[in-house]
Amino acid sequence: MICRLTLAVLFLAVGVSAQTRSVVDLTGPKLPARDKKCEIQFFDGKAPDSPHEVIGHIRVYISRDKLVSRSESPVDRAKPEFQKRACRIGADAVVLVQQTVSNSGEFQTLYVKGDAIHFTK
Amino acid sequence: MITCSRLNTLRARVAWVLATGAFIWVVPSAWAQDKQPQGPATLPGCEDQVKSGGQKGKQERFYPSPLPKVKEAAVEALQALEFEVKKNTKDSLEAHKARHVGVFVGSGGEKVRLDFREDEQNGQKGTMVTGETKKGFVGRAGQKTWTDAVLAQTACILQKEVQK
Repeated sequence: MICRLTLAVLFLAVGVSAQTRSVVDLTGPKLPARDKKCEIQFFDGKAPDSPHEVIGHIRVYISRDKLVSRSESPVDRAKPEFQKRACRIGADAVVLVQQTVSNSGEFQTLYVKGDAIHFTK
Repeated sequence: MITCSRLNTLRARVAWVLATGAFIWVVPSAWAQDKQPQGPATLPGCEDQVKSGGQKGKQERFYPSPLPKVKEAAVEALQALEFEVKKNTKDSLEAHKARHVGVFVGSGGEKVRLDFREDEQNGQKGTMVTGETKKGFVGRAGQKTWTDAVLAQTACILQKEVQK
């Protein structure tokens, strides 16, 4: 019985957690970090008209185990991770430029790529 | 491990029934989801270019774009499919897919190698890409062939850049 319970807990711990990870590639000037919970604007596909510079590219991966979590991860679920990373590199906004969903075995991964921008005026 | 305790108590029997029920509830839906294309749902308008699983062995595809641009698009495609580029030379790329520890088989660990060479087809200059997926020994059951998906995603990214 104890053996089964241990197995069940192990499987649940592995499966329930949707894993989120992100990678940042800095491309522009290095800016001071902003407050951890700073406000970040999001733009879908197209950068705003106001003058800006791209200071980095942020890639967010959200993987879920399809056996445990049945609902698909919407793009909005990636936004907190974008916000965290964007604040850290001193960005004002993120332009979401690409999204891909890939299935591999029991896992589904949502990939979202965003350009971190800094308004110059 | 299943035999580590015998089914001789009422609690053990109840646990066994619950575990069997959970298995029956969960596995068919996972299999149904697995029948969906294994390749990615790619950039808008490009979905039909992706085939599930795909052919095994080496595959070639011609892109009517210069080599540096194709290689750049291939790197982006690999990143979108959760591959990390480990080797990047003038005319080749080698990338490994991130691993996920799952309830049953997990996934990841595949290695994709892409070779690039300048070529010409029907009088049009471009780049020929030869790709191959190699599966590892650990977690092989959860590994897939990704060459088709990577080549299709590369085409999508190049197409998107042309539209810009």
